[in-house]
Parts: sequence; C-alpha cells; structure tokens
Amino acid sequence: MTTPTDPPLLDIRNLSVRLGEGAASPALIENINLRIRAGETVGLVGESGSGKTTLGMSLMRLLPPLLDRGLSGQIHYDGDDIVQMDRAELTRLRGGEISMILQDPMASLNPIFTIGNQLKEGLRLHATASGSLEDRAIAALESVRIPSPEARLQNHPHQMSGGMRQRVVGAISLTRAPRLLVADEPTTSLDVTIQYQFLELLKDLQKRAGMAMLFITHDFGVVAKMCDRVAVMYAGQIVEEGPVREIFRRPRHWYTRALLDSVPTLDQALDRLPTIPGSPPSVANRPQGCRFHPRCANAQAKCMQMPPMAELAPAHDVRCWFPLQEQRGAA
Amino acid sequence: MSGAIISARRLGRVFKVTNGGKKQDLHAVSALDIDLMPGKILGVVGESGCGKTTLNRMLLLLDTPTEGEVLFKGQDCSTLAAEARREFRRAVQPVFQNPFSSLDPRMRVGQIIAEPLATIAGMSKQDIQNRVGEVLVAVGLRAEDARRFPNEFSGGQRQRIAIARAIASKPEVLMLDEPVSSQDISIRAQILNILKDLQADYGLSCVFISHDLATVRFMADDVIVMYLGRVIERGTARAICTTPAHPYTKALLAANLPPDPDAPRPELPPQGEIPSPLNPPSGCAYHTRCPLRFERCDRERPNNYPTPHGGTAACHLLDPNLTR
Repeated sequence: MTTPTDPPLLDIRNLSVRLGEGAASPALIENINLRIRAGETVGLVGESGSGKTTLGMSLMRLLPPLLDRGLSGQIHYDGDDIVQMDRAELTRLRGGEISMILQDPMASLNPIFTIGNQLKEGLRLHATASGSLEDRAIAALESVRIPSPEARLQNHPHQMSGGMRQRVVGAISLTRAPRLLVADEPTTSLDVTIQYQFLELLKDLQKRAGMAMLFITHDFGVVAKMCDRVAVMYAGQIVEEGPVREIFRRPRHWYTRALLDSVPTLDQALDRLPTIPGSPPSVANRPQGCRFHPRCANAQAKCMQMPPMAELAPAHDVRCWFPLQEQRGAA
Repeated sequence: MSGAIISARRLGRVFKVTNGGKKQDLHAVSALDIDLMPGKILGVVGESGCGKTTLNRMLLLLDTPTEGEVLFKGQDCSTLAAEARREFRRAVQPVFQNPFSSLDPRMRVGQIIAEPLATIAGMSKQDIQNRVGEVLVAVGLRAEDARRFPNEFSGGQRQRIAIARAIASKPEVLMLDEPVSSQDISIRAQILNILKDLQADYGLSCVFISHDLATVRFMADDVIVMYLGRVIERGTARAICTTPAHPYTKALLAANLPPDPDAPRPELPPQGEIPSPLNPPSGCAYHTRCPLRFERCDRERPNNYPTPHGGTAACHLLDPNLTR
C-alpha cells in the first residue's frame, strides 16, 4: 500500500484534447487533472461522449493524428511528460510501462493468427525473462487461468468464448509487466457471470504485480467492486473526484448523485426510478457555464459561470457552485 | 392456465447447423411453458445462448417452433387464418434492443410509427396523423417530430420512437427484448419509467427480456430464468431477486454488482464458462458450473420442484425425496 505522500506514478495536469489548435476550438476533454499512484485503481465513470475513452487513449498517445495534434497540458509518468515524448520513447512506453485492455477482445486480437503467435509477439520483446518462448506463453495463459494452455496456444480467436478471449487479451497486455493498466470497459461485452470472474482475476493479477489501473466504465457496480478512487466525467470534464466510499455515500455533485439514484437495485421495489431529464450534450452543443446546469435539479443563475474544481473534503474535489451536503439514503 | 393472452406449451426450437462439416442439432429452446397474464410483466433472464432471443422471436411469430405451440388467447398460432394473424400483428408489438438498427433511416418518424396502423382497417389519413401525434406525446416527444428523420435524434429519443411505434396500434402485448441495454445510464431510467407508465396506463402485458436482474426486479411481476434453452427457475420477481432457489439463479445474483463498495462478497461466486449449446452437458445442464453438484446431477435431468417462495426450480437439491 502506498501512502498519499508518495509521488504519483501518473500525474495528469490541465490535459485538453481539442478539435484543432487554439483555446477556442471545441474540446473533447478539457482541463483534466488526475493522479494515479502505484498499485492504485482509479475509476473513470461517465456516459457516452463524456470523454473517458479520449482520456484513456491520450495517456498512450493513441489518439487519431488530428486529435493528437490538439493535445495540450502534461501527462507526467514517472518524471517524464508523455505529451512531449517522441516515437522511440512512446514505443518503449506502450506495452512495457502502460498497457491497455479494450472492450471488444475480437477487435484486439488478430483473427488470422493463433493465440500462441500473438502472445509470443509480446514475449519476444521482453528480452530479460528466462525460459523458452513456448514455456513463457504457456505460463502467461496459466496466469489468466485458461485451462489446458498448451492446446489453447494452437487456437485461433474464433475458437474461444468471449470471456476466454478477454483473458487472452489480459495475458498479452500483462506479458511485459506494465506498471499501469488502462482498462476501457473490459467487461462490457461479457456475460455477467463471466464478467464477475474476469474482474476477480484482474484484481488478483493487479495485486500480485503491484500494478496501477485506470478503470474506465459506465457501470457503478463495477466501480464499487474494483476502485479505490473515482473520477466522474461529464461533457469532457471531471466534475467530481474522491475516494470510492465518499463518492457512493456522500456524493457532492448533483450529477453523481442523480446518476447513482437512477440505477435500479435488487433490494428495493420502486414504482418509479428517479431520472435526469434530457440527455448528455454533444461536443458541438455544450452549454455555457456548468455543463450540467440544463439538466440539474438545483440550477441557479450563478451556474451560467463555469464552477472551479474545489476540494470539499480531504482528496474529494467537486466542480459545483452549490455542492450537496447530506448523505445519500439519509433522506 | 386460462385467461392468458399469450402462452407457450412445451415450446421448442431446434436449429440444424453445420459444425466443422458435421450436421448437428442446436436446441435453442426446449420444453418451455409460459403464461402471460393480462396486465402483467413477465421477466425473462439469462445469459448468451440461453435462448431468450429465440423465445422472443417465436412469441412474435417471427420464427416457427419445431416443437410445441404458441397460443394467442387460447388459440394455436400455427393455425391462425390470415385475418386472425393480422389481428395478432396489431395486438403484439416488439421493441428491440438497438434503435439504430430497428428504425429505417430513410423513413420519417411519422411513417415509421404509422406502419403498424396498416393492420387496422378503415383508418383515415387524419386518424393516422392524430394517432402518430398522440403516441409521440405519450413517450415524451413532440407531435412535430413526426416530420423528422431518425438520425436527427439521440439514442434515447430513438428508443422512445421505437416505443411510440410499438404502442401506435393500441396493442395488448409488448415484447421487450433488452430495451435499455444499449442506452446510457441516465437514459435507462427514463425509458424504464416510460415503459412502466405505458404498461399501467394501457393495461398492457409485457414480456421483458434482460440479462440484468436489477432491471427485471424493477419491471417484472414474475420472472423465468433460462439456461441453455430451458427454464431452470420461475417465481415472483421479488423471490427470484432476493431468495433464489436454483444455484444458477444464485450465481446470477452474486454476479450482479451492487453500487455499494461495502457490499458483502457473495457466498457462492459464479464459476466456469457457459457450455456450448451445441454440446450441452448431460443431466442438469448447469452441473458443470455448479458448486453444489452431486452424482445424480450429471445423470438425470431434474424435475421442477416447488421452491419455498411459491415458485419452481429444476434442481435435484429441492427434491423432497432427496437422499444423498
């Protein structure tokens, strides 16, 4: 366990991704500040179009060229700024230091090569390890609990189930022992019983490797299970960030609170679900001032100005002029 | 049971498939019985390959069962005359998961919604236009939206259009196949509320198919849980979601992640992979993943036994004559 005084592994400062150069161009994500410490899991929650995937992609500089040119701010990784890195440095970073698991394992794996072939590609780059390539590939499959790994090496992706494929993607992304894993909705395409097992596996692998994780999801249940801290994104900004318990028990932003309340649960039989009116704005139609105010139950005149991110409790920041006070479920 | 609007009796669907050059039978749905009562919502829960979409298609008469029958108000649907079939099409309407593929991008919203009205004889142009405006307002859109095209709407608004189309012909039954799974969380609650309101206002009966137990708990009165083409447990939504009897339902419940970081860890966490429906396990199909299995489970398919909360479950552990 690290203490809050350790320097963070990843320190994102004022990160923006704009469609074009100049501060006036529309921004996919805007003035993002976020820190991830070694071994820590930070959840990034938001709806589609909130910018969570753009943020994840920008950490590895995997944005399309047009957007990559619109990147500004800093991403300090272990002392270096990823935003300033050249090609050679990025190659060293990708897969080695920071790795990624994406939503659809079929899109991450190449359908015409065997699993073994694709695993060994990553292993070959890892010159320091001992043992034959074959043995290390088998060990990698064993580490993600794939039964009869020797036989599975000969399989093509289509011969495996979705859950199995995602475990192979996990094995590949962990071959070079990254220190940070960006998991972008890794279980959204999986069945619930398979999702559960994959999350357990991921947590276990993380603990053993002491790896940090940025976990991108829209599912608060997954956040509750996986994360130490949570950042909630809305329309390109982080609107609230804090320890996972604080966010669930005592959300300060009206958006966070309303989202949490709108999720049906097993233990209560409600007649109606509380809802948020309207839908999230597109990049081109983001409102003036607080981005959430047109949908907010407590919008006031002041909300026409953009609220700053303010620390309300230790390590709990919120972007709201009138943050919530009471605990959730207390009313 | 009498009085049901739609029933299935020993319903089955076998697909002939070719697997690696071999001809095989795929039992997508087997020996399924349901009764959808007027004004009730029946939840159908299960994971991939459990047959819930095949069931949906058969209940909509979009696919022909290979065994058993679908009854509409007591009448066997395979023998419906043209006129009665047209009445079925009016009375039973679908809402699908993805409103990006279920709405024709080249048709105006008004045309899309008016299409099912063709099943009703004698409606004038003005009647149709009025009805289109009425249902658009009922789902929270504006009557003027009839002139626009689907691409002018967000995902949530498109699903409202799909619902408006479904209720346009004043149906008695809605078949809802994962209607909120492709929606954002802030939109899901809106759509679920609309469906629940419409169901209550018009006294609709619904089949609500979902993989998410918490959503089914909110929507449904009764629930069936399916695994590899068979119903393995049935009961009230409350019983299924709080005191399930079948180990598979318990695993589904354990896999449901509550939005609470202090939620206790489940006693029986889910394990194993879903077997291929092409090669289902012997005996109880769940025995390969069941933490409570014993020797009888891989030999013998369990009967449906009564559960403590008034439902039934297909599990040998509930056999009152069980000796181990």
